Amino acid sequence: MFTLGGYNIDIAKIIRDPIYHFIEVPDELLPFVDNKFIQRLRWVNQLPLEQLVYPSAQHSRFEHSLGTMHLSMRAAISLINNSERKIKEVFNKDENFKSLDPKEKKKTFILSAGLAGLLHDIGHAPFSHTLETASELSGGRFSYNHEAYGFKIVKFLLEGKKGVVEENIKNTVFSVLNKKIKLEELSPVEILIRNLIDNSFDTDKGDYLLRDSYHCGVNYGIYDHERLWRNVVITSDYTLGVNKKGALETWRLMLARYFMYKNVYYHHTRNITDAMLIDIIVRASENKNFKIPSVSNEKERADFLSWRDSDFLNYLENFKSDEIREIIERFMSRKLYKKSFTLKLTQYPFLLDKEEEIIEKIKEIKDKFDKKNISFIFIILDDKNIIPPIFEKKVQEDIRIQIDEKKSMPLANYLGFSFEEEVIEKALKNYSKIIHFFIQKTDKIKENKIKEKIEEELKKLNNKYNER
Amino acid sequence: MNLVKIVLSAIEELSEKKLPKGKTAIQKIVYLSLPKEEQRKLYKPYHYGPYSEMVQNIIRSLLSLEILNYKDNELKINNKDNKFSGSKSQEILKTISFLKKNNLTSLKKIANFSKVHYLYFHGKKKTPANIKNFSKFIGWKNISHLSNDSIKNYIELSQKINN
Repeated sequence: MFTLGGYNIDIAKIIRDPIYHFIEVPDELLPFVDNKFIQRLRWVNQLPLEQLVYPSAQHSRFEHSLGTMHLSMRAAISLINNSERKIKEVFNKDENFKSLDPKEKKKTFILSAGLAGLLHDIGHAPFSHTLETASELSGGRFSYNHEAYGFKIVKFLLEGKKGVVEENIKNTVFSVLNKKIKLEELSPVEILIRNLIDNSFDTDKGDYLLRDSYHCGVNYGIYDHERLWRNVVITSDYTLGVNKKGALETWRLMLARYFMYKNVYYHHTRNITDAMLIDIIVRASENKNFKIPSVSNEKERADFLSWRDSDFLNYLENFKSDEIREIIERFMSRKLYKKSFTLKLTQYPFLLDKEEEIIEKIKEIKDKFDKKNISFIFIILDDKNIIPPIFEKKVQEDIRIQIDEKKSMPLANYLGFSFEEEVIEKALKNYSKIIHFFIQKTDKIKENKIKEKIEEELKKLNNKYNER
Repeated sequence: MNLVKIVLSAIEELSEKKLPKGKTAIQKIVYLSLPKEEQRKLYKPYHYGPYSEMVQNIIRSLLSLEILNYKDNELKINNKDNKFSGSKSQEILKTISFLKKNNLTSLKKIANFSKVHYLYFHGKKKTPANIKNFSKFIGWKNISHLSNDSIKNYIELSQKINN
């Protein structure tokens, strides 16, 4: 629990929350919380596929957005309290902040961090990440990217809220959430807030690990959020870091992330449901009437607003070809495909930066097998999310612990497990992107045929690039 | 563009020259050899300078296939008669020759040069004073300790390396 009153910020509402008990909503941010685009997130599940594994994971993106707003303001206050001299320097070098009086600077900073946290997921469609992958596999038939959608909505929202929040809050949040603007193009305050919500350790992860863990009924994502976010600092390298008191909690956050990926986000059943839904969407997109709402104009924004998880599954059912009907029925009744085989992308080094071509090639093969009534589906997963945190670059290099006024060091160094590059590379040489293949019924002969064909074609493609 | 070839060429060339041969040096040399749009697409500013996860993945994959080995903090190609064919990357040859000619041969100098190059071409700040002031906010405090003349020199070299 923390109070915003000390920073001249009036509280409009206090909302009950299972993770933080109470979330305080400032006057200035309430119109955004009440906005229909944020309210829509109540009807979009945070873990729509994981709930097929952990049935109680029924929580929404709305509560995660509130939680991220809460942690972002908590962290912003800590930065002001713990790094007084450096935050003044950051404010004074920022065009949007330097002319404000000291109290206004702090208030604007806290509210900007809170608003960026609140709006960071606003572009999420139902089954958002699955839809994104499906759009990559659709051969250009439709496109969806939650960050691009999100930014368009943020732009629309901020432009429509003239007089509700100060211009410098709007300008700051506008830049922070526009991922087309890279870190090096941001102002010092914007860099700090971007790092607060999107970094090696950030308030987005800080909230979803705790919240997803709670709703799944597992203990993997737990760390002491009060301890961690009270101890964030601007380090002597001017990066977002933690002081010595926060070091162990940062490590716990990294472990929590690892455990959650291993057991929840990369759960084998969840991967199968993901691949099945991708297959359904890609097949549906072959119909010329398939369209996903965009957000570029008023009519499309209205369609987007009414777009919820259940609507999306109903919508897909409109495209009932025989194949789609069968897969939808299997998906809804949880009669899932079976794990078949995996291929490591490290086997094809010349294709590592050619993922689109790999996908195209596998789709070609899939279509041919489909015609012979042999159906398989696939998904590409990145092992980087399940690297043991002790070897992670974030831990070995990026996350800095402030030792004293002048000195900071990487988390691993501070905790006593700093390794030479050579040791890390030896430990991680087998971590790569992996293509997982699934099949309707286990049939070793058919599976071997598929595997052999795909290996043969990828090898050819790899050799083609080697010869260039 | 064949990024794997570029990475392999960088490792092969560095092993023959008196230049740093670790992962950080490879990252920077590949960065300096790429067209600007690829630099922007692939690289992000990290603690030790511009860093690409894709380049890192390629190195890890080549290590996994034992085409490379990592010994005494140096990356080396295991066997010159390996499965790779084709010619060396001309961009890498040009970059290495440029670095040697301009006495940018230590890891520190290569990293500093890459950082200034990155901010000059990909950031909003173009003057030495602006780059110096801004660099620490992105985590590159050591650049803010350089003199304006040193930064100016790195900017001039940045303009030349891309010609």
